[in-house]
Amino acid sequence: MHLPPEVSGTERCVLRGEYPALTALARWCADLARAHQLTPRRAHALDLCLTELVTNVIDYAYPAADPAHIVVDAQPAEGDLVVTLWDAGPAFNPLEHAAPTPAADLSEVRIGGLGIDLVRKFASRISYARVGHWNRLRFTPNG
Amino acid sequence: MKIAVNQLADDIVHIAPSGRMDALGVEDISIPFTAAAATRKALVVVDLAQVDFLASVGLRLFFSSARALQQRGGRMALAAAQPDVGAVLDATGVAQLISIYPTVDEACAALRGGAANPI
Repeated sequence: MHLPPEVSGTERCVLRGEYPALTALARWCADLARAHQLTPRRAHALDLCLTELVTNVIDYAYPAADPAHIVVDAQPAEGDLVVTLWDAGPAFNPLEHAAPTPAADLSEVRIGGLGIDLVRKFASRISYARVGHWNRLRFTPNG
Repeated sequence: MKIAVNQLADDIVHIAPSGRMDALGVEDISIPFTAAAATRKALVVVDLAQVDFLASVGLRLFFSSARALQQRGGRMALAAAQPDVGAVLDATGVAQLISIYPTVDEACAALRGGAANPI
């Protein structure tokens, strides 16, 4: 299995790109939050942002019949946390997509884009890079 | 996820999902949720007390059901959200589109009084 480069001091979670992985991801987030004594607010932001981003990869980046891996790295730093998500889908920068405009009523609600909108609101220092054949999205969950 | 649907005495449909409302959880409940919330004219209160996590896929289920319900002349309200779930509702401005109440009783009172029409 070919995986992205690992930096020392990071904790890594390797997932198969299909829905059952969401259960393992939630457990990993809870363990990480406990081990690093994250505030409840930051622990929720970590779980929410990763759930949204991993779901997007499963839904849009990988063929259902042959999902590749998704790798999550977390690097704790002085009460802070830098999270890196790697996927092997086609090059895609979710940050290039404009935030949805607020709908005035239910008939106008845009169904797409809600997930990345939540990530923008619950994380900071969000950045994207294409590294080899990996999409790399990095963020800090808000505490 | 699990879901409980009850018809309250005064003709309000009480829907209580429980568990983690991510893509996996919503797969479990989307059909019974939509059947209870969006297939006829009704007053619907979604009791979020047992929902411990809400992702955008859950918001989409609320929006699509509330829209179908509105088209049938019904109304939906959300109630009793836990803090993490409330934070997601706040961040996405859901209250502009679906009324949100601290308790199921307050939601029911508003639906009965016709007040659960946002804006």
